[in-house]
Amino acid sequence: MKKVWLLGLILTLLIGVLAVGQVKTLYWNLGTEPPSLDPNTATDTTSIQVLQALFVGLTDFDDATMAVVPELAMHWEASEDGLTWTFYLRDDVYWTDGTPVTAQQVEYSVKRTLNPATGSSYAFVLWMIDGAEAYNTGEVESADGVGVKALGDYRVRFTLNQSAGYFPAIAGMWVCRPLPITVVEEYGDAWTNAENIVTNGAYKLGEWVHEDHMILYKSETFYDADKTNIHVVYCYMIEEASTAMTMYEAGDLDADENPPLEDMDRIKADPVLSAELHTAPDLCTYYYGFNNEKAPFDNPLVRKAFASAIDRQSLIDYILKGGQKPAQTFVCPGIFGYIDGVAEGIGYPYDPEVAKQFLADAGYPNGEGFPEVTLMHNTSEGHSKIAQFIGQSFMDTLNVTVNIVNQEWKVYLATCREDAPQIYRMGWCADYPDANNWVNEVFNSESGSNYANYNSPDFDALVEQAARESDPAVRLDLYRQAETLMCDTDAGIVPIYFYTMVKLTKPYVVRTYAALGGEHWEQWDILPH
Amino acid sequence: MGMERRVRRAEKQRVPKPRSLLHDAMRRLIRNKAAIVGGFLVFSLVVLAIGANWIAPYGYTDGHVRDNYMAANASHLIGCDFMGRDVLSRLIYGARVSLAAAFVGALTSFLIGVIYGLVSGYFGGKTDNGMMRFVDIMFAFPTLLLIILLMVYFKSTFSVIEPGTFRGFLSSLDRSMGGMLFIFIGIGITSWLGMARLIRAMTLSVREKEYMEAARAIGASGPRLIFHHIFPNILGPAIVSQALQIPGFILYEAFLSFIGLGVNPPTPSWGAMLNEGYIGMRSHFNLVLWPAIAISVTLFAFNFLGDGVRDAFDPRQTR
Amino acid sequence: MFEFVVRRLLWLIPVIFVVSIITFVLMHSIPGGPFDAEKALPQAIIDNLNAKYHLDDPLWKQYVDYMWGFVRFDLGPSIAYRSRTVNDILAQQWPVTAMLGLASFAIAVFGGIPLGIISAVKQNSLADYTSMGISMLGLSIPNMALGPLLIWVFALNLKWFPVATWGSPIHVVLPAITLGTAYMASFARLTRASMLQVVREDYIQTARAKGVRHTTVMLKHALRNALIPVSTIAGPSFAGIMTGSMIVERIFAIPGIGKYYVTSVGNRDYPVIMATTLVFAIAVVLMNMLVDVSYGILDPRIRYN
Repeated sequence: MKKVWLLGLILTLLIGVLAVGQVKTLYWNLGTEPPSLDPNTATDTTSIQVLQALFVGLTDFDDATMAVVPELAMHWEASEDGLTWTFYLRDDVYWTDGTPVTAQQVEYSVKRTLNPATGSSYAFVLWMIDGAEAYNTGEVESADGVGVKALGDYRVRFTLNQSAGYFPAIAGMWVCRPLPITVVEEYGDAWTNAENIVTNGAYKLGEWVHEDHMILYKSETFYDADKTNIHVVYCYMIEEASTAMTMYEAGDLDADENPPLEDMDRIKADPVLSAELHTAPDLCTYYYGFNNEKAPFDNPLVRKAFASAIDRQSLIDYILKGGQKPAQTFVCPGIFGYIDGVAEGIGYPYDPEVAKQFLADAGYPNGEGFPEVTLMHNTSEGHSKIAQFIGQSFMDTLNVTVNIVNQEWKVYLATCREDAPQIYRMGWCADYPDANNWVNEVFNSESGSNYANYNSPDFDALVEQAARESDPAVRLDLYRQAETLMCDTDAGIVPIYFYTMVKLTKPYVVRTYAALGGEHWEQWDILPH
Repeated sequence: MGMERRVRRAEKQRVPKPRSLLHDAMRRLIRNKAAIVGGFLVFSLVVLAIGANWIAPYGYTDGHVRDNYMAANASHLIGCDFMGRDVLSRLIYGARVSLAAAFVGALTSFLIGVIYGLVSGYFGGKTDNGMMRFVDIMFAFPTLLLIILLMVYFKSTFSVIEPGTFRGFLSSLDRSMGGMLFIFIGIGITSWLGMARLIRAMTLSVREKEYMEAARAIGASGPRLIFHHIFPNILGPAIVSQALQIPGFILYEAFLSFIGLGVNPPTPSWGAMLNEGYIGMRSHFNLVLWPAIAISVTLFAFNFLGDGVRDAFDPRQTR
Repeated sequence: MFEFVVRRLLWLIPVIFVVSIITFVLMHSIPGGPFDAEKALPQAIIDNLNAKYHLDDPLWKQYVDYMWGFVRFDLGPSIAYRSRTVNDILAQQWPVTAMLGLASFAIAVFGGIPLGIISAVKQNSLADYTSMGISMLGLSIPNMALGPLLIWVFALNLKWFPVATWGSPIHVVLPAITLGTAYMASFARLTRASMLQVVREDYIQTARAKGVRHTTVMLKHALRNALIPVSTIAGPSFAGIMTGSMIVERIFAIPGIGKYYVTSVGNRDYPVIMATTLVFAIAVVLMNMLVDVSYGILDPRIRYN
């Protein structure tokens, strides 16, 4: 009897050891130290990635279809006029300190985001909520007028000032995620430090050594904990892409989300690495803007000449090497309101003869008399390469002089805002999957991001109408007209390409690829290796 | 009679022919093989830089992007860069920027340092004290931060097209130099401290020499004393000291390019090429190897030459 | 000696004052503020943020407030990293850079000086040419090329060392070599030159004439005096190592303070810019003081009074 008992003990220990050995750990590179783990103030993709794992939102995105799916909210309904949305929350979600997640915390979070004192950069996405803009811009002192209300512990109602079919997507954004009220009130800005923080997501914060690494542990109290396979996510913070690549090749990292494009040829030629490479569309557009109010680019013919002198395909094939797609419209594929400019013949394909003709029509035959112009970009090796290619192309095709200048990022932003250079480089990425986030929020003549000074009353009318409209077919047509106006008729800007994400992942990682909002590690798995 | 002849012969043997310091130094320099090699290399680099238009097989922007990262072959001895441009040609043109940064940077810091040191050393007393205190303080200032702040400031203020204004003039001058003007100014502003100290020390010691008293006695004053009497006597060691700093300036330019504050593309500089290439080092090693060799060989050459010059002028050498 | 140290410490006061004023003026002269972003913030938010960080106070008041906090060791909040104070950042990151700096400095001193001694003792031999050649090599290869090269050879291929990051003594080796090699070369060359010069002094000839062995002459009599000029470059080497750490930390993903020198300017994180600059200046002054104290120890002719 004793022998059996002993055997049982040994077996249990063995299984225990094996089980511990089975702790699945994902070695990930965050790329940099996250500036903020506060959902209300985070703006950068690194912070948002960590927030995705630590905090639940009302809704989430399905990685494959990009459709909005329930997360904290089980279901939701909208009133007939589309102005009132009610979300019904789960009642089995808890913070790591044991307290329940309630609707009041959602209301608190939304109001805190909109509070001007918080200084949230993303508060503007919530301006469709009634009273939000007034509170956020300081017109109104009290948050009581903001259209978000907790009805009981598990129901929250939003009142909007305009109908927005994509509101559920907004409700899932990090700025709306419920916060642990007592913890935030007690610690203020320091509430996200490892010793204070309290979370409710699939993972909890275990260790945070600044600038070095962060360790996330699977949260056993998460409502879907049994579906979470990966127990530990060890996040490195390696900024240098080539160092991360070396670590990936040495086996210290399980995924490389940003392999250097200089290594692209070698990766594609290598049998092992090329099998681990994955390319997928990313929700960003890269464009060159013209300062429509600065000579000589106040002349549309000049803009069209330059637009026709860009060989997008060569840029993609030889410089970018990431399978990007040439862009002739601003809104990128995957976003509602996307128009396939290339297929529909919108915009200006590469044609040196047409380019020269435009320039001649503008009064500068063969570039004679054309003043020196400046092409500016923010300091970065990648942008520099693209600028050199396109700048050279301008010079060779049009016989003009283009000076390539770069400025440090904040100086560049200030320059673009105050007095944009003749040609400037910018990108735009989706905050939520609707064209309103693009054409209206950037190039509306009132917009603070409209560095191109593209002021077209017709364009404004089109995009504003599309924002109010609820019929998708009508909206799509309005966006088509707007894009045609901006990128073709007026050539206010020149879209260059739509981003792709290029990633390397070890074969033993079973993963998904998220386009918006951060990877869902809780859905991944690691096979024995 | 025999005595006289013997004395004269002995005199001839014992007293060596008088030679100038420069002559001595040159003889010692020529005997230093390493310095000769260094000098020859430096000379070749200068020739390359000046004659780049004739020596380089291609222009530094020539090339088609189709040929990107082409491996070394007959028509492109070191291969092509990311835009299909010939690396060898860009290296040769790059010598211009690196050497210009070295010489002009050295010259700028030399000028600032010499003027500062001369003034401080000549006037002495409280002025000297104050000026040297300032130098001591600036020695503690992190150069990196200063140069970043300066470069950001310059690039933001002086990238306008405003013909007619001073700002516009500097901007266009900078543009025509491929963005190098403010790099020179930046290097100069952050590197003059050592020279200032040295010049001031030498000025102080020369000031008290007899020939200075003599000059003062005959009525020479102020500027004439400084430039006509002090300056020539300290020029030699000053130049030698500055020459020894030149390798540092070449590295400085490479460093600035590395952090993105260097010349504007497409102007090639070895530092910028190093920066472009090091990221893809494992895929295209030649893009890093050759700029690194260029920088290293240049530094070698200047170091050997500098050492040789210093040794040649060193009065304590008895060989 | 004590008076000397006190006087040097008092010297810190003007240094801090001048360095802080220059930094403050320069950093407020460059365009762009901490809250500039691609998606422009509404004016009310910017006003609120400025008020929160006292950026709307007149400049002189901001300076005075900052310095008042500085002398009480309160370095303010970081504008870019909202949940950390500058004290936190320095406390967490500076020790790492200090360790890397010390390791590099150790390589420079304990690698370079012996190399220089060997060269001087066996002047013009193969050993001399080899070690001077290696020194030249070290002096001529820039950090940014040496680092990745070392990683490729020793970490990726030979697997003797980790590729990057920090955490245990073995992580220190490659970065310290990368950073310290150039200074090792400087120390080697200077030690050799200095030894050779000292060797011609009369007291050395006397010792030789007395019959003292060559090695003893070199090590016991020449070395001590030869080290005096060598310690002149200790200060600037230290400053250079701190500066060079920025590149090395980036290449090896080391969580040091180096990157903050650059990123804080980019972020317009004014408290961090001021703190990193002042801490650097103080470290340099202290280092120079240590060097001068070592003069006194090495050369009994020098007495500070």
